[in-house]
Amino acid sequence: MAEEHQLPVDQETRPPDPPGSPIVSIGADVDVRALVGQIQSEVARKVEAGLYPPELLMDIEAGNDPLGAALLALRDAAQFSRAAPTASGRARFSGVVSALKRVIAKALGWHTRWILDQVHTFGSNVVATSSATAELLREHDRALNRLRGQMTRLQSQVPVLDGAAPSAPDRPDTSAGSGENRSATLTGGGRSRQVERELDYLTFENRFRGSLEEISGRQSAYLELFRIAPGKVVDLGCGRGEFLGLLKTIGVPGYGVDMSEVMVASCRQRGLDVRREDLLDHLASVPEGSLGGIFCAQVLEHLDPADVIRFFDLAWVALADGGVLVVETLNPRSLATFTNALYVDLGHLRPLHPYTLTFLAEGAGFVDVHVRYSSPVPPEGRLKKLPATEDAALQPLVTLLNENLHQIDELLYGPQDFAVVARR
Amino acid sequence: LTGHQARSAPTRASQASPLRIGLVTPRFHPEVLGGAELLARWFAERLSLAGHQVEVLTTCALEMTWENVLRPGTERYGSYLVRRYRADRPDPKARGELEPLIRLGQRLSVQDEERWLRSGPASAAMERDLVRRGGEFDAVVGLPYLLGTTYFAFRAVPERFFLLPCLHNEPFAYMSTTARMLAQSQGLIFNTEPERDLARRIVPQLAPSAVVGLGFEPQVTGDPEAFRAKYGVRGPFAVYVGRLEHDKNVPLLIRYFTRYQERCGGNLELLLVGGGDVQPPPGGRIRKLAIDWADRDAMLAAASMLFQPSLNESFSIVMMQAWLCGAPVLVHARGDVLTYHCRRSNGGLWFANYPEFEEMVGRLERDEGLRRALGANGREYVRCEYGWPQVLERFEGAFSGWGVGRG
Repeated sequence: MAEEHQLPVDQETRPPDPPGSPIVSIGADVDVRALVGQIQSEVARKVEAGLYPPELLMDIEAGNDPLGAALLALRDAAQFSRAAPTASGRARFSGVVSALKRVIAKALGWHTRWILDQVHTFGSNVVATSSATAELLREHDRALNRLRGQMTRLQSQVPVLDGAAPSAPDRPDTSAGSGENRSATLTGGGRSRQVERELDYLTFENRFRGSLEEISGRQSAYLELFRIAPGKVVDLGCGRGEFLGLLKTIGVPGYGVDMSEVMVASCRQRGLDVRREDLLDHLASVPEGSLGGIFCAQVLEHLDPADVIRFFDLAWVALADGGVLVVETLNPRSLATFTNALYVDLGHLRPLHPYTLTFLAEGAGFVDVHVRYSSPVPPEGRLKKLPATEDAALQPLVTLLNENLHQIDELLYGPQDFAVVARR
Repeated sequence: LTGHQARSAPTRASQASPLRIGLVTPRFHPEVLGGAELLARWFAERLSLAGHQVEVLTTCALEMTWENVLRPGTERYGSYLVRRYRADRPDPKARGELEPLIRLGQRLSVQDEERWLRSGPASAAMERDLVRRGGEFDAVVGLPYLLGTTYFAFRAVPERFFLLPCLHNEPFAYMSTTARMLAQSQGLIFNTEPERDLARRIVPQLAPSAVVGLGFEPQVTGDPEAFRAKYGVRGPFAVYVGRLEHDKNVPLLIRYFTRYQERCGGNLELLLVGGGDVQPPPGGRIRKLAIDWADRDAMLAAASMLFQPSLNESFSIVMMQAWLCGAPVLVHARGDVLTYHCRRSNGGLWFANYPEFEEMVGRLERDEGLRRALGANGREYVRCEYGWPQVLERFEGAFSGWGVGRG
């Protein structure tokens, strides 16, 4: 993808990447994580379309679950062969040796059959018991997931109930909707959302974020991930609805959620399905496993930390199995972020580190979690290299200086955004 | 100690103070081609060429029967010394009695575990000599973790013993004798981060450790066309190189490839290169091939892809060799070390089930550009991360960090 950016190998000014991060920067047109993800989605589509025979479906189940794989191997191992090979590999006397082996096999047949029958019975019982145990474990797993979903939803209600409780005598009347309650609290997230209500975000975005076409161009890099989403895709904090427009172009059903009345009205004028609601309230209210994908760009930096954590938990519960999550935000590993994007928007509370969001996504239960860097600073805005010199004595200094410039350049003007991409 | 940290280390390999290293390994001979044995041989060569004083302590055995076929005594291999000791007579009775229990995950007493380790390979002569001459070494490095030669070397010279475990997720890794080495060695040298993660799952409080890996020559030799002519391989082929064993997940590869042929057709052939009990089914497009070791690179350069279905690898030398030859790699998704390499290199794909295998093999078979791009990424990865200068720097950096060889 055009916006894909991978860290060069010789970048020592940044902290070392976590194990498994790509370190090779060549061949940027191949991203094996994306390719494997694409293939997994293709397989999911074929499963959905009923294109595989039952034995392959069993294999898929086993492949995704180590216990299933172990059971399959156990089943294979329980297929005992009753006939011992009697062929001989010897060049000479092979006929005689084979005949001798057959005679011995026949003579001992009654004995080996007696033992094999017992082994076979034992094997069948082991397979049956293991299968029953595995099914029981899976049932417990499903129950645990259901409980986890219920717990997350209940936890998300706690701040609302807290706000409704008449514990503080000077607390204002909170008879309005839950979204309003959340905004009225004095948390960082509350303050940020209050800013968003006061600020004319449509005018603000038109001036500072970039044109509709520019943002659509940037966000089109994520489109492929949602092409075969197992359900509707929601764009949380959809703003002017650029991504919803893109989804329409590929025929993927989607809708948006935004708190800004002006944004919602603007989207609806363009025929987009957008609801005015708090994004966390919305996530908590949709049925479990009902969403095919969640897209959330340039929003989490507006939330307070507790809400960021809750966001990932709620997203996991709301998504269907195989559903995709894409969360894009400012990249704090590039110092240019701190001189521009971070402070331009009054609603920004704090930048979020890619490692933190990866950690939260994995903690919530997402799989295939990885980071994509995007929005590189154009070459004209970056530090320039010194030209090579013909003076052989000076050249090592020029090389050294250029290496140092490169490191400083990466630190100052690295990619401006990143996205955490994950799958439920 | 990752590649990033190593590159920023202030000293270069050649500037590090020379170490006196004893390398304990059960078999050591150019004919022995197992992963751990190759690792020992390559390290012995490279460390001695870098100026370290290396002595290999090994047995007189060539095969895993531990029969003493080579002469005891010393032999000079270029820049280092090989000292051979007679291997103890194996004890098949103790092995037969105890090994099934270990494989079933039963906890044995330390005495029984040591009895199993002593059942072969082990060398009392080597242990006596280590006790007597241990002081001549700054470091005694033992590998791999699950053999008696390694464990009893640890017992003989614990104060200067370093373990290069080549750890796999298998029942032997969970024995208390293994845990003891992982916790009480003077230092642990891992091949990859996932290997160290596995060790941490077994022993949360590990001895000091470093991830070093293994080095490779960037240049490969061999003519793919000459290979095809010599072995009569005409069409496109995928290859598996390694032991043909259940433990290496080869039956699964055979099952998947057979099904691929049935469902998708095509003329891709699978070559199985290596010794072992697993046999390909008759009549299909899978065949065993015995090749000269010298033709390995030519074969990998001619291959459309390398399959590596094993779930238990601590490094995978053959993956690196395939990448150096420009071949893409397809690995099993539950092989942590293998997917780690693929993710870091952008040079290979991983499948979790048959349908994914089918999609991936199909794409690789059809798309030469994809094969080339993956192979090129893999080659660059091996050159950047596993060139000998980087590996030696990490090795020396680790020992320097542990304060070894400072008088």
